[in-house]
Amino acid sequence: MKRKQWMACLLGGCMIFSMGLTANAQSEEEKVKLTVMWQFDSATDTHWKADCLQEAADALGYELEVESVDDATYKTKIRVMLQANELPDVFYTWGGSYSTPFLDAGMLYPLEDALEESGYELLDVYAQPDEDGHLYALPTNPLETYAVFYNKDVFETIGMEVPETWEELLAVVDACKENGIGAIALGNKDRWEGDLFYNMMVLREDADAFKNAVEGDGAFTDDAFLTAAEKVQELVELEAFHKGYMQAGPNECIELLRAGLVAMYPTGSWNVATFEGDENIGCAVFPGTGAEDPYLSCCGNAADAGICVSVSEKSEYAAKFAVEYTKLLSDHTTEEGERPCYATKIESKDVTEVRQTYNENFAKLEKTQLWWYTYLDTEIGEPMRDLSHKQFAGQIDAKEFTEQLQEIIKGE
Amino acid sequence: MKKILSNKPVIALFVLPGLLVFCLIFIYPMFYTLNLSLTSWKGIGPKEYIGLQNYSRLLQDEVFVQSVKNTFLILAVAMVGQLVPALVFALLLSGLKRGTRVFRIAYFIPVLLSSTAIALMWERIYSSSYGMLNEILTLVGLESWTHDWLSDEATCRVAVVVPVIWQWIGYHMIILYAGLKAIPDQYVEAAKLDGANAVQLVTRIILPMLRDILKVCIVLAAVGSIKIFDNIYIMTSGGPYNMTSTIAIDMYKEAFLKLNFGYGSAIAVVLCVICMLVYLVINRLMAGDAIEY
Repeated sequence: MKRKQWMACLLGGCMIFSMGLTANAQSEEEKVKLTVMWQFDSATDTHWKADCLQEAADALGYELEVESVDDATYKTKIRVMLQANELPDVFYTWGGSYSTPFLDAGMLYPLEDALEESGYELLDVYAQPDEDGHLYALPTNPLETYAVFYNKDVFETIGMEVPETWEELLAVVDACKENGIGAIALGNKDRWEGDLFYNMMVLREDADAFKNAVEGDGAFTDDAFLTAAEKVQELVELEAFHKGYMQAGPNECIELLRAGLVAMYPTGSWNVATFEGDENIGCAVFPGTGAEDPYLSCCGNAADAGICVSVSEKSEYAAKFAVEYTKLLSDHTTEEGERPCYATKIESKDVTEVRQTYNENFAKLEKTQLWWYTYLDTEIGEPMRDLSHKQFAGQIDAKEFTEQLQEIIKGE
Repeated sequence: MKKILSNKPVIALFVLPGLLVFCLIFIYPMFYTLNLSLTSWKGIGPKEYIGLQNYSRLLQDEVFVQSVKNTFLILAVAMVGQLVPALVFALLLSGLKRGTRVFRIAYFIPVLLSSTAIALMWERIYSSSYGMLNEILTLVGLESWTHDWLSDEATCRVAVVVPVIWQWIGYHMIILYAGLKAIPDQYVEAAKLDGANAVQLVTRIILPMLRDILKVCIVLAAVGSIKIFDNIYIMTSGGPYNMTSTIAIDMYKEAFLKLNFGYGSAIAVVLCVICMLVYLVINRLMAGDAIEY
């Protein structure tokens, strides 16, 4: 009898132990594992972008598998993953037409429920629902616009101020040439930097020109486009852009500016973080090369750019993660002087001069114009960028350029 | 055993698994691509058949026409650039009695490197701002020769071929060297006794006897040049304004950047047809009875 009792106790113990093991294994299995893919460059992006991924995952008890690739690779890879139906759980979109294939495929998961559940308040400018009323992207940074970064030592050497008008810009170009310094850095190997430059030149001529041309109230052969193209042509002929600009990338331009081999680098505000550690680098608005006030309008990215979530069995978890991540990122960067994307009581401290200047200039803006490429379908955008490449190589004159632009965008 | 192996159904049974794998990996994708080329499929949603519209569009597509021209230019430059030096080096090496191993290894090293590494290395060599090529030209007083090698219309197409030539010379040299070594000495000795000079020896004796090996090298170099993608895409992405775009780069951009899978597939089919035609032409031009020695 006693032996039987011992046996029963032993078997019971084994059962409880195995149940415990199973339960433990189950909780291990239940730990949510998300895949994240994005474009991240430690040389130019704030470290918070990477750090907050783990912070958000830890807060939610998730596991992450993160893949970081460069911009150009990302754009291709994410589209290939869409075709293969192998999208990561969380990924990045530049908004506008970049999001269209994902929306058409029904692969974006709405985020408004997760946002509401979190209790966080996304600022109105970023809470831009799609045509179907759903919110599909959460911002990883505040709205980005075009700016000019300049080397203070270079301007001291040439004895001039940062240009504010077209005439002043030409004078700086002349002075730089005399001193053997490149006036304007442009990383045009991948075509987009030249494209953004021309977008900006057109905006300076007429802030409504692009909108009018697209809507049919104007044309891409109108004065604003032609004058801007003539000015680009003049800059190319004057050798205003640094030596080898058609073969250079953004990182090369950053280093050339830091080294004082170029005077200015016009690019997006995503580089504010890049230059925050350089006291010798200043930030200014793109000069008033046309009739428009340089402080009132600027080209910028889409408000619906940011982190999005693919449709899968893990979408709900991924949506929570996206909300938590973007909120944490917004809080941390706000503390460092960045403009917030979510309502917050956090106050900025130790704001660097370059960020302070950029923020002040941004606050004056009355209008931001979306980059043309972000607005246009890829099938139009790609030939447009090829044409822009030709323009910056000096292979096409201004008039012919605008005529071809009209043909590409409007098919006329 | 001998009886079993001469039984055709049994042979077929042995061959079947390999054949199935081959069909699955090679034949099926080819027919699938051919099928896609008749659609306007964007990668998402149902496939809409549009007949031969993609093919007729090719003829009006300036970028495609430019890409075909570039591909044939690269084909010509790469063939001459790879095979002539490879043959010269192989002839020189075969004349050496000692030390050939060092040279063979040295020439073969680029073949072992990844195309990506080679493309990145040459991109830096060509860089206008800090590239070695411009630096050297400046150092030797040829500053006026410095260029934006990869973005200047006049130089970009040759500039993107040079790394390809540099990479593959060693490969062809090894094949040709092996071919040269297989030629029996008595033919060469007999020609020398008959008073043949070096040029006559090469053109009348060695090259004809090397014909089959040369054919292999020509086919490999030609098909490799027609399909070229990675080196050039890394260095220039097909730019400036498609001046260095090849058929493969155009196909990639259409399919994966513009998501025109139907049109991209049509380009892939044309690329495949061009490869086959070039092979047939080479085969025809170099036809002849096999030389046995």
